[in-house]
Amino acid sequence: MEPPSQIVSLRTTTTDPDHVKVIQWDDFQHDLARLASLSSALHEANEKKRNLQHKLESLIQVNAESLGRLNELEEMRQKLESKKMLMENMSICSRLAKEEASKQEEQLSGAVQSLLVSGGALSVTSRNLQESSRLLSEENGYVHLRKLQKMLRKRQQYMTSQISMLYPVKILVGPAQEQELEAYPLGSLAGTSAGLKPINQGSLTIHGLHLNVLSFRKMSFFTDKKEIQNSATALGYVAHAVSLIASYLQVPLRYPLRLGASHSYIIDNAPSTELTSSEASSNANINAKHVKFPLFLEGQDTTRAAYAVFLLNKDLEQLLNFIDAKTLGPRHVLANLRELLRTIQSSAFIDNLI
Amino acid sequence: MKKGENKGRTRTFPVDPNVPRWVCQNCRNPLCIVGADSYADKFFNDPSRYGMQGSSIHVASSVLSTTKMDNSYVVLPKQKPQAQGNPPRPRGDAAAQPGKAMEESFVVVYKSESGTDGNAVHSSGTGADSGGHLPPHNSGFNSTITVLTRAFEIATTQMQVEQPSCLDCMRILSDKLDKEVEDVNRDIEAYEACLKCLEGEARDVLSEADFLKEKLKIEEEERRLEAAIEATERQNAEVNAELRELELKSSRFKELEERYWHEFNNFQFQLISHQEERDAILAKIEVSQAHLELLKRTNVLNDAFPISHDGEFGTINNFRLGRLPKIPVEWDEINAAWGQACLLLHTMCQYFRPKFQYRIKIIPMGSYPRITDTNNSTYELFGPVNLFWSTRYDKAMTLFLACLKDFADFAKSKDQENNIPPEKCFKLPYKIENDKVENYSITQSFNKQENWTKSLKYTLCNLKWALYWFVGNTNFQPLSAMVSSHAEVPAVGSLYTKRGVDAKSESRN
Repeated sequence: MEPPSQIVSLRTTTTDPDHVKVIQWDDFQHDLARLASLSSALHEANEKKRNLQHKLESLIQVNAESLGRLNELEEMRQKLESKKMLMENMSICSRLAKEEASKQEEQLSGAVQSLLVSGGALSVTSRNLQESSRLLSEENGYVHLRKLQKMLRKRQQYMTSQISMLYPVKILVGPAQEQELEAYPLGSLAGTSAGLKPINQGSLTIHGLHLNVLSFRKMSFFTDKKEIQNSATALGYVAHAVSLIASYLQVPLRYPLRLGASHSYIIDNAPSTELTSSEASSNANINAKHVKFPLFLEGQDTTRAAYAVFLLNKDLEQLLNFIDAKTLGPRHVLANLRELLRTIQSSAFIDNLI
Repeated sequence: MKKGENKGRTRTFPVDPNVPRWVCQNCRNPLCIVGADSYADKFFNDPSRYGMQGSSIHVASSVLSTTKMDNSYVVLPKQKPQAQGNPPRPRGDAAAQPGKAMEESFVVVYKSESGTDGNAVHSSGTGADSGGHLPPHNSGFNSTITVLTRAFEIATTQMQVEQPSCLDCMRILSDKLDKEVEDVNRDIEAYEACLKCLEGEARDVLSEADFLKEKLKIEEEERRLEAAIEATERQNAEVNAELRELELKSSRFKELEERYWHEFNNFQFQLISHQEERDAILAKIEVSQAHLELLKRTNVLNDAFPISHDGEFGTINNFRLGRLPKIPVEWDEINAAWGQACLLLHTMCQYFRPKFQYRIKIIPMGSYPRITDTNNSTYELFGPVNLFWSTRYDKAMTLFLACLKDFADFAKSKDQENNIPPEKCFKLPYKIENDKVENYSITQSFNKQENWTKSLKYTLCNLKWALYWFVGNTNFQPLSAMVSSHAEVPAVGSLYTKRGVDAKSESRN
């Protein structure tokens, strides 16, 4: 009696009369049956699951072993594959290196051949160059040039001798004049006697004509007209000779000459400012670019003629310098011309080739 | 509808005190079950044994189920560690709930069983006895309690759920069980799929024997590879050695090449230097050659006194000789021209003295030439002169013609002495007779300017021919060179022939 009463008492305890739920027995029984069927289904499912699990475990174990072996084999194969790859790489490297070696050897061989050919050619060409240099210093070059220049100078010498034949520059020597020269110095005579003046002024003549430059500075009514003509003619002759010699030496004259026999002019292409202004003031017609000066007396003005003689002497100086000769001074026109003609006709003119 | 009605009854109507009260084992709410009276009455009033036997069978099956359930619960903990993937989760959930239920139900089950057995025997006896003694109402209440209690016990043992339970709790529980069933079914499906898969794979499983065989094969291949690798390494070493050797050779070659280029550059420098030197010399040679050729073609007298013409005027050294009505030439120019002509003729006559009898003498004075006749009378050959008073000027010009004629005659006699054929002896192109040149008077008085100018032109042409003869027959050398000049006379003669022909053709043209 005790257990049933205990159970009954526990299950039938009453708490709150108002909250008691009323359940129909049929409903209770229905839900109870559903609960029972679900429990039974769960039981069956679990049983089935357990069986499958057992089978699965055994298969998994077998597969695990198999996979282990397969993995081992795969590892071995991979190691083999990596070694194979390594060998292939080494083989490729070896082949590339061999190809590189062959290529380099071929290039080197070609380069050596080329260098040998070039070296040989260079040697031959150097020898030819030396031969050519030797010929240049001998027949083909300097010797030929020297011969040619000598011939040229001989020709120039010959032509200059012809000019000197045409316009001979000589020293006038006579018994009377010689005696007078010995007795009286030239300077003292110049100041004392007008009668002796023409004879003693200058001992040099060109084509038998005196060149009295002093008369250009002391123009007076008593000056002989013939003397003026002689000087003008002498200057004309000098101008002509200078012009010819300059052309044969191929020297462009600093002060070009415009020939007119006894009425020749000398041209200054770049006159100084003072001269230009003075000339402009005196002669408006003169071209400013260059100024020409008369190698003769024109009217009463003797300054321009004197300057013309000075420039003519400058041309003579230029020619003398060209042939390495010394000038004899700014006032000695005939002396310088004589020196020029003499020097060109001397043997030194040919021997002293540069 | 029924349930709704039940609830309505519960709330609205007061509970019958006679109906037994229970407590829900889950939510602890009081509950009472109605409608079970009819079943209780049937149960006790029906004396047929078949019914009793059925009830006993039911109880037996319940017990068996309980036993099986116990077994399954014992096994589950072992399976948990081996379980994989999805199965653990639903199993875990299920295990938790059943665990709790199991504990409570387990304790209660043992007591219930022993109690049930004892109670069954006792209760049946008691029921019979009490039924006989009690009034009809009291006996019905007791039977209901007994029946329900036994039902609760059976249900509890079978389903591990404390009974009684209210409908709500039982429905919740049913839903849970339903989900668990679904989970287990899903696990079963997964297991079956895996099983099928594994059974398929089982064919591919590698046996130990095959494994060993394959392993040996691979090891063999590995040994071969090792050998091949060793061979390749050896080959590689050889090639590298070869490359090093080539490197050394290449280095030596580069040194040689550098030396070659140095020598080449040196050579090139020398070549350029040589070429420049050679070009300079060749240029100098060319210049000298040209200059020499020019000078060889040049004659000093021809160069100093070039005779030509400018229209109607004859010119000497570019000075016009003569005058025309339309072209009044200045006296300075005419004087210069006469001066040049006199200097030239004088030079030629002077050269041949004393062979040439220089009877009419010319005194050249630049622009102021004079001429002396055989009587030693001197006439000026320069102007200005008055047309009406030009007797002396005319005389001078006539004397110039006479002198030129004398020189021409001398030249002719010289050619005859040299045995030159008569037709090739020198002869003036324009005849001179007294004061006329080819019938043109050279005087100004009573003469037209045109005729005078033409006469002067012819005179200059004659002078040019005389000059060409002179140049062809003499070297025009100083007296000291006369000996060599004489020695060269034959050559000069041959030269004369050429020059003569050229001179004549030039003059005619």
